Amino acid sequence: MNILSGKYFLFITSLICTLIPVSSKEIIPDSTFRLIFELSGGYSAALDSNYTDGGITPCIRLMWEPNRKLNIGLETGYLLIEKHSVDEKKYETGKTEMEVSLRAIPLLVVFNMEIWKTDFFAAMGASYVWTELDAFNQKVYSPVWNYSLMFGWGYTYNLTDNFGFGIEAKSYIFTRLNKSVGSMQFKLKYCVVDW
Amino acid sequence: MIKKRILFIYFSIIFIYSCEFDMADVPIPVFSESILKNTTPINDFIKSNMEGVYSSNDSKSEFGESLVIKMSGQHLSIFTGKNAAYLIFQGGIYESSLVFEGYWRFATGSETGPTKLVINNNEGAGDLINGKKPELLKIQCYYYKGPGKIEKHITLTYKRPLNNQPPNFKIIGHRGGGRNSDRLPVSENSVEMIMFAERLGANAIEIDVKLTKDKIPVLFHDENLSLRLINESYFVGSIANYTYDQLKTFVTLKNGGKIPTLEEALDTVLEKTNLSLVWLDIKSNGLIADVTKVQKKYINKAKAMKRDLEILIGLPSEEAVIEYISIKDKMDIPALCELSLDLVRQTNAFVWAPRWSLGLQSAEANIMHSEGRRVFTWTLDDSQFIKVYLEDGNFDGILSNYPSIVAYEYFIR
Repeated sequence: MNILSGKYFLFITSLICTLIPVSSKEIIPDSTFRLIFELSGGYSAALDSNYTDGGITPCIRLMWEPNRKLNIGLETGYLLIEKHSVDEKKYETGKTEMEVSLRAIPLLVVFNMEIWKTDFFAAMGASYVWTELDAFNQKVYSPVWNYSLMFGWGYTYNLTDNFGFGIEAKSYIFTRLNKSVGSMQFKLKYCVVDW
Repeated sequence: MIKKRILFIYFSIIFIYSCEFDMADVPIPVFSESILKNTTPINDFIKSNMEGVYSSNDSKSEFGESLVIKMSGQHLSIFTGKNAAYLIFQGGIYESSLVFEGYWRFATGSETGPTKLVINNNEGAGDLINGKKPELLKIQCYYYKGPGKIEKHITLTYKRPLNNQPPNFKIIGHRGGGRNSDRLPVSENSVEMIMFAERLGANAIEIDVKLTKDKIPVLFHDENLSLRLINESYFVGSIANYTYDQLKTFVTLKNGGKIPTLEEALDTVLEKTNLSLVWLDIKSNGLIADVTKVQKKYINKAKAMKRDLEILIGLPSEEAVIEYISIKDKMDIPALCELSLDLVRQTNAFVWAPRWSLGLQSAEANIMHSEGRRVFTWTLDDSQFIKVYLEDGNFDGILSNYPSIVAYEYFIR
C-alpha cells in the first residue's frame, strides 16, 4: 500500500476538508469579482511507478473568484508521468536500445476553496497523454485523450492586494492509466482584473 | 453539521475505492500433489467413449442435474446447466482406473476450486482400458469449495451420446475464446487463448485484427493500447502507431503472452487445434487488402494439410463492404457479412451474421439458407436466450463470450 498514491492522497485531503472548521473570519475583498492568473512550477514524479525519475512541471491557472467560498478556474500544464530506458540488448526481434516516456498536458476545470487561509483544490477534466518511444530505429509518437482528476492543497502569501506567492502540493490522477503523479510547486499569483 | 460531515466522509471513501480496478486475477487452482504423476496417457478410444450426457446423483450441487462431457486433445471438459459452471481436466490411466485432475469454475463469476474425477475398474474404467464400450459408466467427482476447501462428492452416470443436430453447428468463442473481463487464465486474442478455446467448448473462434505501423496484421481488440489489454502503462495510443517489432519486444498481454500476428494465430489454429472455423473481425477501415492476403495464404495452407478449416473475413460496415468489393480476386476470399441481406448477396458472403438483439429473424434465415448461405448470430451470452435461439431459431452458429454455455445447451438437446 503506497500511502502517497492518488486515492490515499484524495482520502486524506477529503478527511481534512471535512474535519476542520471553516475560518470564522472570512477576508472580504474590496471588489466583488476577481480574475486571478497563477503561474507555478516544480518537481513531479509518478507515485506508483518503478520507472520514472520525475521531472520539472510548469503549470498555469486562471481562477475566477466571485467573492464566494468556492472559486472556479481552468488549469493546464505539462507533466512527465513515466520514463523508462533499457540499454542495448539482444531480443528475439533483434538488437536495440529502448527509451520510452509517457507525458501529459492536463486540461482541467479547477474548484478551489479557502479553508483556514489555505487553499484546497479539486479538479476534473481531460488530459492529452502521449507515448514517445525510440526503439528499433523507429521513433513513435502515440497520443490519446484520458480522463483526469487533480486534488491539492496550497498556501498563498499576499504581498499586495494583487500579487502573491505560495506553494502547492497536488496529485494528478489519470484514471484509465491507473497512474497518479505527485507534484510540489512554487506559485506566483497575480490579479489580472477586478470589478 | 456532524451528520453532513460523516456523510461526506462516507461518500468520499466510496468514491475513492470505486476508482480501484476491479480485476483481481482468478488463478487456476491446483492440488498440492498431482495424482497424474504415475499415470499413462488415455487413448482415443477412451476419449471418444467418455463423451456424452451424464446425470448427477445430486441435482442440488453446484453443477446441477445434467452435465455434458466433451474431449478436446488431452483435455476433458464438463459443461453444466447450473451457475454457468464448467470443469477442465487432464487425465491418465492409473493401474485399472482412470483419473483426472483439474478445476471447476463459474464462467460468469470468479468462484473456482480444484477437482478430481475417478472412474473405478468396476464402474467402466476396466472396459474402457481394454478397448470395450462399457455397459455402465460412472464417474466419481470430488471437488473442493471455498477458502476452507471443503470436499464435496457427486457421482455422474452416463446417460446418452451428445446431440449433434443441427450438424456442423458452430460454437464460436469471442476474441479467440473468451474475454479478459471474465478473468480467464489466458489473454483474449492470444495464441494461448486460441489453444484454450476448445476446452471452453468452442469449435470455432472470432478474432480481432488490427494493422501495425509496418502493415502487419495482428490480433488486438481495442483501437488503443491500454491497461485493459496490456501490462505496460507507458504505451498508449493507437496500435497502428507502433511497429510489430516494438510491440512483440516490449508489450505483454494482460494475462500473459505476446500480441500475435494473424499468421501466428492461424498457424496455431492449424497445427495445435481442431477448430473448424475462424471469423476475422475487422473493426477499422483500410485493413481488408492486407488481411485477405494472409487469409488466402492460410486457406491454401489448410487445403494442403487436408485440414477442414474455414477462414472468413468479417464485413461489419459498409466501408468494409466497399473495400472488399474492390478486391480483384474476391471470389477466392470467403466472407461473412453482418449487414443487410442485399449486401450479403452483393458480397456473395458465405455467412450472414445478424446481431442477436435483432431477434430470431427466422424468415430471413430461411431465405439465406435457401440461397445456400449459413446464418450465425452474435454476441449471445445469456443462457436463457441461448436456449431459445437453439430451440426456436434457425441458426448455424452462435458467437458467445461463454462458449461453455452454448456447448452445454447444444450438446444436451
